[in-house]
Amino acid sequence: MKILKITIWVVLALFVILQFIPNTYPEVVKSNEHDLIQAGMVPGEIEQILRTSCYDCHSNETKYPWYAYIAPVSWLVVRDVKQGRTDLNFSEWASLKSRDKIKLLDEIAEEVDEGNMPMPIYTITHGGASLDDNQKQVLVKWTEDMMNNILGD
Amino acid sequence: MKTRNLLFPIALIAVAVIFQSSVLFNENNSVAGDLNIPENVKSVLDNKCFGCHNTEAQSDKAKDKLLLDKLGDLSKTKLIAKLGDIAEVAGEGSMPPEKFLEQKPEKKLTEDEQKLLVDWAEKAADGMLN
Repeated sequence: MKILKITIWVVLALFVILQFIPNTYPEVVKSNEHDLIQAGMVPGEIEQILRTSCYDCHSNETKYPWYAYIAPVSWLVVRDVKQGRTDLNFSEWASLKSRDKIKLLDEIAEEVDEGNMPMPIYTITHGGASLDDNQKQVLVKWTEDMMNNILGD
Repeated sequence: MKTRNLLFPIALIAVAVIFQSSVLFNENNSVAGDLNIPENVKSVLDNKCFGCHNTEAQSDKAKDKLLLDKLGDLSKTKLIAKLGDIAEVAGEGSMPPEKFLEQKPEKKLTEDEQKLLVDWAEKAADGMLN
């Protein structure tokens, strides 16, 4: 019984200590001149999907939930947001080269179609974020339209 | 006298055979397609990438990512996307994969080859957009 008590105290103490390890959150910027949605480049239905399922990691408009401030979950959140923005940041969309836009759109279609994105660890905690078959189809069709638009420019 | 008369037709046939086989060789064993790949780029792709990225290769993962002998079958947008992928992995040096290089270190891309592939892939992609 004594051992159990000690263990609980140790775990609690460790948990408290974890909170003091510094963690740098990617900055939240609401207004982005080159943002895909803010540039008015997407239909409403797509905007809704992108905002609900993609924008937390793939834009500068991340909405951090309360548990994003509690270690060790906070480390996962920070890692994923950083990685997400590096791979694809919709807030910088308009500044990308055409060839990079096509590469990313092709990748979006693939990731969404295969169900790799949004990531399971995200949809577990963001119920509305998982994409149903219809939403996937709409999104893939949108990437094709966008790519053809870029080709036609 | 007779052998002399035969010399010309034999030479002709020989040339035809060599020509044919070089065409076949090109179709089966190297990067083809109507991309107009410059010779120096083609030779890097053939030597360092084609081994895994062709229809007959072993690895399904490599084949799934890129088939250098089927580039000509891709739609314009897919081709631009693939060229972007090539530029990315060549630039990062993430291809050929490290595990593979442990077995065949001579397949590693030199810095010049990396730059050559990146420049070519980016230019080719841009060329298709204009």
